[in-house]
Parts: sequence; structure tokens; C-alpha cells
Amino acid sequence: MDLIANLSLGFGVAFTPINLMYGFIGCMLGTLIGVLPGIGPLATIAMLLPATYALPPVSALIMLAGIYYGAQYGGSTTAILVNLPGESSSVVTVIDGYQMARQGRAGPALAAAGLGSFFAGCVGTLVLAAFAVPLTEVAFKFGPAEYFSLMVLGLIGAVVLASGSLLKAVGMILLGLLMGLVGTDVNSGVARYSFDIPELTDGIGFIVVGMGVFGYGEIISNLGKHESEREVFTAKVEGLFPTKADFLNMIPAVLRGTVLGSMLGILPGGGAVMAAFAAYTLEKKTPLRPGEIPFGKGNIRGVAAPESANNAAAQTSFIPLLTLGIPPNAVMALMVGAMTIHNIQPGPQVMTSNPELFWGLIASMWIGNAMLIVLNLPLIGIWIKLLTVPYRWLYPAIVLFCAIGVYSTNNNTFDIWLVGLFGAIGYLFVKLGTEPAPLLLGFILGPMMEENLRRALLLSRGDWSVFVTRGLSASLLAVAVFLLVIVMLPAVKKSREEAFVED
Amino acid sequence: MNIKSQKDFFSGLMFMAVGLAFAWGATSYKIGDAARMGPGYFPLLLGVLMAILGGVITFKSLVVETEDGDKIGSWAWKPVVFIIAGNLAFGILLGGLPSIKLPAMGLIAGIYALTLIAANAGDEFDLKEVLVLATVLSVICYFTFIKLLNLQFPVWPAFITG
Amino acid sequence: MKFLPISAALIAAAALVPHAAQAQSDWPSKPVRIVVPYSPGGSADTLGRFIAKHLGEAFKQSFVVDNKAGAGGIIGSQLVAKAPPDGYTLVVSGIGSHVIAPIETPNSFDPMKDFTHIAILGGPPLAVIVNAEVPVKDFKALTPYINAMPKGLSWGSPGAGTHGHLTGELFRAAGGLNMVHINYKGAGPAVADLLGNQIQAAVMTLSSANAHVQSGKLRLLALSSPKRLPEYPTTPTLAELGYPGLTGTTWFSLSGPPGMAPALVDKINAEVRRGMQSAAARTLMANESMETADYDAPAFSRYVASEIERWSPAVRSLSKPAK
Repeated sequence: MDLIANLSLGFGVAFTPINLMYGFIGCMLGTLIGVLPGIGPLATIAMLLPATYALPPVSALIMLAGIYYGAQYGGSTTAILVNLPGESSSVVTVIDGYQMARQGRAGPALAAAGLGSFFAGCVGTLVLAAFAVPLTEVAFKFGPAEYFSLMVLGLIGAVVLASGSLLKAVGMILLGLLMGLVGTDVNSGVARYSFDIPELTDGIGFIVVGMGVFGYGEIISNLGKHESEREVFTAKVEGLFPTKADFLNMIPAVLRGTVLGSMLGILPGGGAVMAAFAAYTLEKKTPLRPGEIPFGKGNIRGVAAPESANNAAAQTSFIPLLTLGIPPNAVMALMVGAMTIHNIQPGPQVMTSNPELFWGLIASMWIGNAMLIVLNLPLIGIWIKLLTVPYRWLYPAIVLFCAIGVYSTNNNTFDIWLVGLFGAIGYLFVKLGTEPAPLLLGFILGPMMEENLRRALLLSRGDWSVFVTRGLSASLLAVAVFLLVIVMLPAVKKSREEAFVED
Repeated sequence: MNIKSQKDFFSGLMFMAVGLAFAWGATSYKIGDAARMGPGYFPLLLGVLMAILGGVITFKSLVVETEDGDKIGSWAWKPVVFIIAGNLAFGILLGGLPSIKLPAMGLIAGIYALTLIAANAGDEFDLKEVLVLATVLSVICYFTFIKLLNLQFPVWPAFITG
Repeated sequence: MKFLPISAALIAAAALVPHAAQAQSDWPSKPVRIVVPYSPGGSADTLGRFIAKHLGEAFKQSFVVDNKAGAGGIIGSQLVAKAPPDGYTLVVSGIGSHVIAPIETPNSFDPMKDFTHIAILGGPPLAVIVNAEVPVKDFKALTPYINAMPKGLSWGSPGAGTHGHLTGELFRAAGGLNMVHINYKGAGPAVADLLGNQIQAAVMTLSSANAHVQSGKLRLLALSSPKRLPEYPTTPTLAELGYPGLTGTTWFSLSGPPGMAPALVDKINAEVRRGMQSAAARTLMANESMETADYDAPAFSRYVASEIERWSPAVRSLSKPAK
């Protein structure tokens, strides 16, 4: 079959010692960056890009791809161990991953993340290799109205991310949406809510909010508890690997996450961002097996599903890049830059004019995933050791790394103040019982939702019905409504039960 | 006023206040209409929605029974103050504060300050231990961020590097 | 133990000899930041990365591209206008961000006073393109097609304030046509929607659409170059079609904050010119359908001023009706 021939061409290119070395360097660097909170793959790739000019194009792209995944794997490590989401895709992993770590199950959590990601990566690569071109046609069906409806669906699903009050979760989503709007409006050039502070005209950075609300908020709340209440994880570190029961639970979750992630990754307009959230939502809505820990308290499925989803999405998000030349996110855009510098025009002809590049890159993705699993599984033992460090040494280090990570994005001390501010706000959230994960999803999606809403209405000349008259958009909204009903049903049932009891 | 859930009551108030604030702020930008949305349209919409939601949450907190009153509990002032202060100290020392003519003192100074201050947020404070921790962190940071990743940070105070 | 930090500081102070700042001759002594005020992947980004690579090799320092998109290039440019003129913060300026957008966005900046213009990089002509499925076979058929659409034509550009946007709007005004501009953040998203037939037409740099025109998914109707391009001999120019005022190149350039020392400016200018005349540049220009020019710094500054003078009346003529 053509696919086999292409893949063998690709492996032939990627499996050379030189390219393997570059891939490995990329993975190592990426993992290091991912683990250090705040310093993301974007900054690193931007810095290292000039270094890749001297390399042949395939090697350069392989190294950059290695950095990209390495950062994703590393990011989930910090999310699980210290409640710090280094990237938008790790926000969901934090929810159950950190809880697992607190119960001494950091090892299984890390393994679940790694293995799930690896499986998803393999499947995603296959999907990419086999279906790249037909999938881009599907992506074309998504216009601004469809993206908006998809995001509405995603946000309703985000309500499920919170284990507490539904209404408060919706409130947090709205708050996140509004916070995402701070900054200069791209359409009109007007600076919104920036109070004339120049640093705010670019908006509030995701890392600032993530570090502050999750990182600092958790530390303050932890220190605030009495010694007795504080669950210090040093005491009980159980096995390093998931148990047989864990695996049984995990496998369907990984499968679901992979499918969802692969589908969302192909959308050039930002589907990948939602992959992790969507997978968690889906997972949470599947019934719990007897004896399973509820979601939000350390369910391994809550780690395996989103991790698989976002790795699958990371793979399939190469599709719009390679076939259309349209980068779905900033990191991919840098890859486009890298290709152009090497005089390769990313676009439909890349497959035919530079087949070694295209298939070599695909093969290297698989190799990269394999390398990362080999790198990270043994590392789990080391990370666990790190957790045995007494908390009074650990938390100043976390505070420090958050501040450094945030500063490194713009070399601006203002960002450090913002993290402090969000730290205080994060603590306030903990006290008020409002959860931060829905806020972060709203924050990420806010500007994109507005952009798509505006564009959809411009195209329809102000006609709101466009969201229901376009088939795909209407179906997405219908699913959203359905999801809303499912989500609200238990709450409605519960209050009805209470009413009956009182009678 | 019988507050059934303290947490819900105050969160509702927070949402109302923030929602109204954003909505009010939105009015200073052009709103436009659906076909040509101005910069203020979406924020106004969301702000109003949030304020309404806040109202509903507050109302619920006064009406729906909870087991234990959902108390907010005591505030952990000591950790808040010291962690934030540590963060602020780091920023000031790292970059300097032009308004009081303090030049950049660099990363190392910042690390020491942050560690010394933040360590006060916990239950114990042993100066010797904290200084060792600060030194260890400085070494780790120097090698990882400055040497390995080549990040552009002021490391030493400005009057030394000139 | 308490004396340790202090003695360490004293030793460090004694060991290091503070050196006087010798900005120009030492430049560059640390990485230089080149802000590209657009999303990655577009022509500005391509040129920015190319020159960053060349300057990096020539000066043996790191020249890092930093994308800061928004408001037609205003946001990224404003950042650089406020930076110190020490040569470590530069911007990829151009006809969009420094000629058109500042007029459309009042209170943004003065393109001549708030910047030091260093050297021109080059650029492509504009392309008027439609989705291949649209029943418009050539440019002449475009106007009747638009007039026949009940709700007018939805068309895209790389964003408000870009050369593509301006040219499209001027075309609309000349014919009094019903065309609704859909704003995008850069050429990439606009091309995506054009390919997906969410919008039917677009005006953007040829480089952004080249790949898809060649693959047949998009149809090229006209170019804004002064003469026909060798790679598209059958595509007429806007001048030939009766719109000589729309002829122009979407040029990009390198600029810096105001008040940069002339010696430093000349130093950078000389190296940029060497870069843009090199063989590597010629290959890039050919691939991207771009052309370049050769100006020294003062001549380039005059060129920017002349472009501002040329396009101002056109931009102002469009701003009068409500946007």
C-alpha cells in the first residue's frame, strides 16, 4: 500500500543516527523546558530557531518537533507533581493528577500520562499519515459560526470540570472569558481594560494566571491549613506503576481521549486547545465503576484521557500545517518559519515535492514519542524522590520558579507583580469555593470566541440565526444543549429529592 | 438575613461586582450592533450575564439549605502576606524600581530575598536552613536558566556589571 | 554564616571590572530582538526571519524574531517605538504598519518621528484572488458578479491597516460596490477561510497565496505589480485593468526606535543590503515572488516619507464614511 511505502521512506530518513540525535536533543530540551513551570516551548523554539538554520531542513524540523512534544510531556509532570499547569493543555491534568500525587499515587499518575500520551501519539501519527488530505477537507467545513458553536460546546463541557456548584462554575467561565478580553482588541485596535498600563495592552498572559491561581493559590491554601490537616505527600508514596485495576480503567479512557483529540486537532482554528478539556468532560460523564474514586479527587482516568487527547491533537494539528501551510498555533507557525527559511513552502505540494521531508517528519514524530516514553518512565522514580523533599523547602522553590518562569516570557517585572496578584486572587477563589479550571478554559477561549462570533455575524450581515441554520453549527449547538441538560439533570434531581424529603 | 451558604453568598457578590465593573467599563468603548460588533459589545454582554448569575448565586445562598453553612473559615494571613511579599521582593530586586531609584540587583539577590521572606510563611523558620536553601536554589537557577537555557536575566547587581 | 553573602559580593565586585558602554562599536554584544508585528508565516515574518538569520551570521550574535501581532502592525510597532535606541530592539516595518495603519488608527504613532528607518527588505505585489469554485474567470467578470450578489461580496485581507485591505477598499470605492470586509489576524487565517469558501475573494500579498494558486484551489485575477510577472504571464496588472492608482508593492523594511545613532544605523543598513543582494536572498525572492531595492539609510527614510505622502489621500478618502 502506498502508506507503507511512504512510511518506510519516512523512517529511512528519520532513522539516521544524526537525525535520531537531533530528535533526542529536542526531546531532552523540550522535557526540561516543560518541567520548568512557565518557560514554554514557544519561547524556547523561538530562541533555538536560529540555531537550526545551519542544520538540514529535515533535521531542523525533527529537533523542533522533539522540543514541542518534550514540552508537553514535561508540562504534565509539573502539573501532576506541584499543581502547576505550564501550558493550557496541562490545566486539566492538574485536576485529578495533583490529587493523585497528594494521595501518594504520583507514580501511577505520571505513568498514565506518559503511556496514554504515547499510545495517542502513535495513533495520531497514523491518522496523520493515512488521512491527512481528506481530513483537511473536513476542516474546511468549519467556518466562524462552527468554531463559535464548538467553543460554546466546549465551555458548557467545562462546567463539568468543576466538582462543585454548577452556577459558580459558569460564573468562573464568564470571568475567564472577560479576563481574556483584557488587552487590545485586534479588530479595532482599541485597548480594553488596560488602565493605560502598557503591559496590559497585550493582555494578561496565560502563564501568569496559571502560575498565580494554581501555583501560589495552592501553596497559600496549603500553608494556611493546620499541620494536621495538611496532606503532606512525603509520607505515603506507593507503587511507581499503575495497578492492574488502574490499567483496566485507563484503557477505555485512553481510547476515548485519542479519538476525540485526533478529531479536534485537525481544526486549524484552535481545536487542539480544547482537546484535553473535551476528553475530561466526556470521561466524567461516563459512569463510575464500583470502587472508583470520583473525578476531581484523583481518578486516574482524569489524567489518562486528557493527556491522550492532547497528544493526539498535537499530532493531528500538523495536518493543517503540512497540507495547507496554515499553522494552527504559535509553535506550528514557527515551524512554518523554519520551513520557509529553508526554502520549503508548506502547502499542498509539500507532500509531492518534498516527500522525504513530509514523511520523514511524520516518522520522526513517532520516534519522538517513543524516545519520550523511554526517557520519562525511568524519570518517574526521580520525580517521586523530589516529592519527598520537606514541604518547607519545596514551596519557596515553587514560588521562585513561578516568578522566574513568568519573567522569562517577556523580561518584564510587571509580569511578576501580576503573578503575585493572581496568587492572592487564587487564594480568594479557594476560600470562596470557586474552581479555577473553568476560568482558565474561558480565558483561553474568550478572545477566539469573540473573534469568531464577530466574523460569523459579519458574514451573515448581523443575522443571529446563522448559528442554527448552518447544519454543522446547529448540530454542535444541539449537542451543547444536550450536554447542558445532562449536566444539570443530577442537580435538578437532587433538589427535587430534597424537596420530597422535606415533605 | 439568614445566610445558608457563606461561600456562595460571597462568591455571588463577587460575581455581581466584577460583572457590573466589566459591563460599566464596556460602555466606554464603542458597542456597535450585531453586524458590526464594536469593542464593547462582547464585554458588555458577558458582564451583564455574569452580574445576573452572581445575583442568582447570592439568592440561592440565602434560600437553599446546606449542611454546615459552608463557612469560609479563617483567612491564612501569614502565608498570603509572606508569599506575596517574597514575590514582590524578587521582582523589585531582579529588575530594580526606578521610582525609588533602586537599580537592578539581579537574580541572585532576588532569590535570597524571596527565599528568606517566603520561608516565614510556614510554621518553622531556621535561618541557617533557609540560607542554605537559598544558596542551593541560586546555584540551580544559575546553571539551568542562565548557563543552559541562556535566558537574559540580570544576574548580579547593576553596579557590579556596569 | 551571615557574612557569607556579603563577602561573596565583595569578591565578585573586586573580580569584575566594570566596562564603559561603547554602544556602537560593541554592537551587537548580546542578542537582538526583531519584532515582527504580524502573526508568524506571513511575508513580514518570512523576511524578518531571513534577515535575522543573515544578520546573525554576519555579526555572530543571536537575532531573535518576536511575533507581536495585532491592529495591522500597530501593537508590535508601538512596543519598539518605546524601546531604547541602542540597536537591540528593531521592528519589521512596512507599508502596512508604517504608512497605512497609523493614518487609520489615530493616536497610534507618527511613522516618521517615532522611528528610525534603517533599510528596506523588499516585498511582493498584491494579488486579487478568488476561490476556484467561484464563477469568476477573470478580473473583468468580478464587478458584474459582485453586483449580482444580493448581500454583497464577503472578502478578506490580512487585516485592517494592511496594503491588501487598502487596495480592496479603494477598488470598492471606485466602483461603489457592495463589498463587506471581513477582518482577519494575518494572511494565514484569511487564506484558510478563502479555501473553505467562507469568503469568496481576498486581496493579499502574492506570497501568502502562491502555493494555493499553483495547486489550483485559488484563482489569481490580478496583480498590483507595475508589470506582469514572469511566473504569471497571463495575469493582468491592476494598471492594465484601469486602476493605475492601485499599483504598488507591499514592501517591508527594518526600523528602530527614534534617536538611533547614525553610525549604528549605517552599520545595520550596510549589512542588510548585503543580505538582500545575496544569492540566498535572490532564491527567497524568486520563491516568494518578491522584489527588493537598494537604498542607503537616508534614501530609505526619504522613500518612507514619499510613500506616506502618496497613500495618505487615498487612506483618508476611505476613512470618512463610518467603518
